[in-house]
Amino acid sequence: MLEDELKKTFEQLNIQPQPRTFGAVDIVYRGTAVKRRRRTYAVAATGTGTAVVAVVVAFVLNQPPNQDDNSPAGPPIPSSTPVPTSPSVTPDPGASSSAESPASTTPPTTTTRLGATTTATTSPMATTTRTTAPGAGVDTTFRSTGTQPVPTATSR
Amino acid sequence: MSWDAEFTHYFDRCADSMRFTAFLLCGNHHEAEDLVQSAFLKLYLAGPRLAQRDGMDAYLRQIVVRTFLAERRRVRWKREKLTDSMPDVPAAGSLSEDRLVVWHALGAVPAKQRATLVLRYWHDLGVEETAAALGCSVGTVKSNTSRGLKALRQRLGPEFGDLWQEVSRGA
Repeated sequence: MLEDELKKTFEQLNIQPQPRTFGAVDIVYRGTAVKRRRRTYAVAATGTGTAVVAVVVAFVLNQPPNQDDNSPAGPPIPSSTPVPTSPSVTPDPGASSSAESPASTTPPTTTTRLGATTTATTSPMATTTRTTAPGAGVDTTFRSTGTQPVPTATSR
Repeated sequence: MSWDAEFTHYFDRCADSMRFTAFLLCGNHHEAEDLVQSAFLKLYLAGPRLAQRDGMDAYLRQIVVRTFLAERRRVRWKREKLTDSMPDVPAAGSLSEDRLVVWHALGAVPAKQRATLVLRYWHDLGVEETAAALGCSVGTVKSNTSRGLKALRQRLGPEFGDLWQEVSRGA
C-alpha cells in the first residue's frame, strides 16, 4: 500500500536528525523585541488618534456662524398661533383712534380725521397703535402683542 | 514557573519533532527552520493568554501547519524565487532508492493535500483531529487525503506499483 510506503519513508527520513541552528533563547529574545515594538506602536497609535480627535473637535467647534441666516434668535414659531385679542386703549377721548383686530389681515390703514391722525399697523402677531393728538403733543404707543415677539412696524 | 522558563522547557522537549514535521511539509531543512521559528515565536507571544496549556502539542502543530499553508499562499508575492534545483541534497540522501522516489513525488503534491498526508500518516491523526488542525471540515480532509494519494500515485507512475509489489513479495 502507498500509505505504508509513505510511513516508512517518513520514518527513514527521521533517522538522521539535523543539528538545530537556533535555541529557545533566540525565540525568547525575538519575542521580547516583538512585544516591545508592538507596545511602542500601540502607544504611538493611541497618541496619534487622540490628537486627531482633538483637532477634529476643535475645528468643528470653531466653525463661523452661517452668514446667510438673518433670522433673529428666538424660539421657533409654532404652526398654530393663538389670536391675541387685546383692545386698544385710547387715552385721549378727544382723539379718535382705531385699532383693528390683530387677527385682521388687512393692509395697514391710515385714517385721517380733522386734527388727528391715527395710523394702525396690524400684523397677525402684533398690533401697534399710535395716536397723535393735535396740540397735545402726546405720542402714546400701545402695543398689544400675542404670545410671539414679532417685530412690529410703526409708521407715522 | 514563569512563562519564559516554561517555554524554554517546552521548546527543548518539542523543537526537534516539530522541526521534522516542518521538514516533511516544506521539503527542505532551511525553510523548515524558518517555519518552526515563526511557529515558536507565535506560541511564545500567545502563551501568556492561553487559558490551559494541556494541549500545547496540538496547538503548536496547528500553528506549524497553518503557518506553512499561509506561507505557501503568500509565496507568489515574495521576492525570493524558489527553485527545484537544490544546491545540496538534504537528508533524503539516507533514503533507499524507492523511498527517494516517493519523497520526490511527495514534493509535487499540492500544499494542503501534502499537509493532510503528513498529519494523517506521520502523526497518525484521525480525520477529526486533522480537520481541527487544518481548520476545515471532515469531508475536506477525506477528499484531500484521497486526492493527495491519487496525485502521488500518478506521479510515481504504474511502474512503481509493480516495483512495490515485487519488493513486498521479496520481503
